[in-house]
Amino acid sequence: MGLLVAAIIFGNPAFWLGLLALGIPLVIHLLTRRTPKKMIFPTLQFLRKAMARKSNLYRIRHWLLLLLRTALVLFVLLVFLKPVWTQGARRSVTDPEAVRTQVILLDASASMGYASAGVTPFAQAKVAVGKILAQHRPGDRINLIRMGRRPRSCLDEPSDTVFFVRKDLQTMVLSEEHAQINAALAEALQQLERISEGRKQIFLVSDFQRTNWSAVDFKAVGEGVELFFIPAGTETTVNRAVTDITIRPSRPTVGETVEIVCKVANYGDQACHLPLELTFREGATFRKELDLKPHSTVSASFTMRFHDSGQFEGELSIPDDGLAIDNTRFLALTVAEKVHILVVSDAPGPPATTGRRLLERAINPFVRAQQATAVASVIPSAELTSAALSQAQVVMLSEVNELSKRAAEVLVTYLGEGGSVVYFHVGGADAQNLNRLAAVSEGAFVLPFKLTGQVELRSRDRFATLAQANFDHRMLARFRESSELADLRFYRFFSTERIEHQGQVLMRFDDGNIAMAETTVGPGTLLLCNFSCSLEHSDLAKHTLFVPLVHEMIKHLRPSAGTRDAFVVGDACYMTVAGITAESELVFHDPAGRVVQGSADLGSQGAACFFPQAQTCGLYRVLVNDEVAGALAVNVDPLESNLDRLELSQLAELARASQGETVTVAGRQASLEQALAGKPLWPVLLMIAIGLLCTEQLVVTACR
Amino acid sequence: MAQKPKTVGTSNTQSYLEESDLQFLRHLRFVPRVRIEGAYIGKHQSPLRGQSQEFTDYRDYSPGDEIRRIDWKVYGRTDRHIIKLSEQETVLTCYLMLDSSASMAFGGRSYEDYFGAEDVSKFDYAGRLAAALAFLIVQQGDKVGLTLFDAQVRCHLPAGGTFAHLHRLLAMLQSNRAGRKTHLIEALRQAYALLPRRGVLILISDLLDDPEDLFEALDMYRHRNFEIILFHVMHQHELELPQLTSINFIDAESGERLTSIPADIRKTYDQELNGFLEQVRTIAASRRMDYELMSTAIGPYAALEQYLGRRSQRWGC
Repeated sequence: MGLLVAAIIFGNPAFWLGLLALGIPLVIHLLTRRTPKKMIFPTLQFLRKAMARKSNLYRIRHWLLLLLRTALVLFVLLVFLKPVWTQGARRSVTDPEAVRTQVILLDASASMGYASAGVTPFAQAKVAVGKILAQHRPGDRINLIRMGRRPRSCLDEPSDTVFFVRKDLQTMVLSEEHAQINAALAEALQQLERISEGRKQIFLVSDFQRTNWSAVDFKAVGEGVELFFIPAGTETTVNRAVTDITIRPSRPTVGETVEIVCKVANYGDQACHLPLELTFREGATFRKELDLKPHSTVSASFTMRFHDSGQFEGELSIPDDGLAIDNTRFLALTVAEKVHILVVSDAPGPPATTGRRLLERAINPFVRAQQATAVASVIPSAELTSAALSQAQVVMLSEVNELSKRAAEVLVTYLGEGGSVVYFHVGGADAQNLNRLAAVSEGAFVLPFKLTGQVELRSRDRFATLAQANFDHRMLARFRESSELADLRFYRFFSTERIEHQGQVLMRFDDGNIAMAETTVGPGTLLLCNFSCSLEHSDLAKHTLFVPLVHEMIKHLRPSAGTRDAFVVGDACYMTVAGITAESELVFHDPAGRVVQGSADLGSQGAACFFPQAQTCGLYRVLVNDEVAGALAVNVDPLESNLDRLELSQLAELARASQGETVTVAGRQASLEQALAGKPLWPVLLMIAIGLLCTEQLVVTACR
Repeated sequence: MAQKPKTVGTSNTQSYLEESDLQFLRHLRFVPRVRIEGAYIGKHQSPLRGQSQEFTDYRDYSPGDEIRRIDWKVYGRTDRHIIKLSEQETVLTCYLMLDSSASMAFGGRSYEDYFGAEDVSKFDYAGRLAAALAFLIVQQGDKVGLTLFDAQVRCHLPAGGTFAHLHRLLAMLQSNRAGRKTHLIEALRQAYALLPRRGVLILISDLLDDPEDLFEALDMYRHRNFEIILFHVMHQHELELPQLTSINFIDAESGERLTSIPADIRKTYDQELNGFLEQVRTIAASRRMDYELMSTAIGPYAALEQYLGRRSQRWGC
């Protein structure tokens, strides 16, 4: 930080007059100390003693008074010269007129829309940016970056033409996105790196939400870059928001009990009572009353059943407050007729003894499809794509050939998004496939055991049975009382070696090899079955236990809550729409009903439909032949709802990690002008002058 | 511009006793409070036994006593030679000692530019006081002497009781000039030999000397039963520093210089001066000496009248 006093003084003609004024106290002092009158005086001894009794202060009082009076005039002079204190510019002292390169980062995230007395922080921020632009001097370079999900720069690089920046500022509108501050800061630094001369300044204009700014990394800010924090908005905010919706199960079937759980947060200092309303487009409305304590979140659930399959759209809402965008949260619910299980198998359809056929029949054992609760669709491993997986609630792999890297990546991605996979492996390419899955997961997936060899028990007298089972596991709990598990015979499987602390072993063969284990890959679950349903490899399918065991697997592995397809504004959203063929005419609609440019990736089961980056909250729909074939909900990022802001001191502390120079600016307009033009020092100087005057009087009084 | 004072030590040329002064002084009377020795019969009590009508005591005759003083009536009754003693009344002998040092020249016409034309110097003040005292004493038939001194005795006029003597005394005062240095103690020691009989010693001075030494010198006179009266003459601007902005004070005797603003040191100066005055007053009281501080702000005759009034009340004389 530096003082611009030197530059201002020498640039001001009044300085020289003021310099002359500095001589006034000296003249006064000399005049008051005019040659004393001589007087012959008899009682000089008493005078001498009297003077000797005076203090050291008394002896130097004339010099002290001269000093005080000179300082007094100096400070009065400085008051009239109106010096300013510029913050954060060490080099400003030496070169205050240096060319400036300024990059303004304007927060346009959803939280900036919080209206207090009709004024939003975004509007205030725009005014603040306007002030910065008003300080633009010829030769200065400037650029404006809008901070949203992705930084959007007005110009490719800072320019000395302020016109485009000003125009961009005028047309800039508030987004509903969550701002990625680090990305915007990196963009600004990248632009400043190309500049080699002059002062480099970054202006951060935002509401400085704690949830957003506490994670900003200022380490990348290099030396010589000045950071200006310009807060916008009010200090005290009261906001309530619907922050989350969870649908259990995420893909319900007709007649199934569905629980819609939502979270409502109160970020204010006062407790409140809120009505929460769940409204479906079809007209059904559910209502709950909530009591929220200050700075707390409560959960509320709505339980219902759907008697028809299809697409259901709804929204959860609370009464409007300062930030309206987070008072409503949208949901899109697909109710299926059946639970869709995708069986990936490269085994031929006939004979009926293959694992694929037996698995298919176990999933839907009913002759008539209407009675089934789950249906299986079978695809070869070569057709394993994200579109094929999108509709599946559980994916089962049985008797697959070697998976391609692409297929392995699709599976791992599916698992990473919360999907569930059952892998029946007995030999062939299964060992390579498991290793490939582990390899492409880049550490996210670690096998709970090592495959050490193949066990082949071809003789009728030789087989393996299950010796251990973890009945505490939810999937096996139902079989605790059943003795049938022990009757199962297994002829082909892998010999295994347990890897400690990885996954969970559910069953073991009598020879100690692991028969079933479960491991997680992110939010997804992978169930590894070291056996096959094929009659060549086991007699599992012959037992009545087979069908319930498969359905328990489905029940256990089926996504219980909607963790997938939770999109926020700014995401590139996608959804899978079934029943789409190449001839289908797809139209993509945004929440306002406007047609947007989307794309579709056709698969055997349907199409993966990709929307452009979502700009607003609401329901994005795919229309096939003018009928809504699918919808997805896009909501505001819940991080935008908590409007607690970082104090300027905390921001300065965060920015201290940078090598640059930090400037903290108060949110008032006057302070902003102070930061740009410098803080006027005359009030301080005036106070010092008054203090000097008082001191002078005190010294005069004390020396009497 | 600084005003250079006029010649230091020059006396006022005006007459010390005007006709109007004499009218004022005629009704005053100065009475000693101790017995005094005198060769002439007067109206003051003497320590000597004399022939007055006032009986004092009896004593046995001893060879050398006059035979006519034997009380024959007592001899007739007791057959013893008894001498009847009676009190002797004599004239008062008063010795005026006037300080004529340079410090006494403070004030007056030399300082007209500072204090105005009406200001009176300590020297003139002391001279008028001495003249008034001399007139009082001669007028009541007593004798008065005058000793002028600065560092030493400069001039001495033995005691006399006639108006011709008074004229000589006044002429001596008129021709007196302030000297350069003060050595009060030395002057007192020198004057001691010049005073043959005990009487009243009136010291008129600014007493700017060490009080302990001063009273030690005065003790010589006290041991001879002199009544000692101290007239401490101080200029009003010594007692209260002048209201001037800045003064280069020059010591009247040593020439030492000291520059100061009187307002700055007024308080501490007053404390120092009052300390000195209190010390002198205390010592004088402990030795039963009359001490009278006289400021030039009050005229010498008025001050003298006040003193005599207080003296009369205090000592009953």
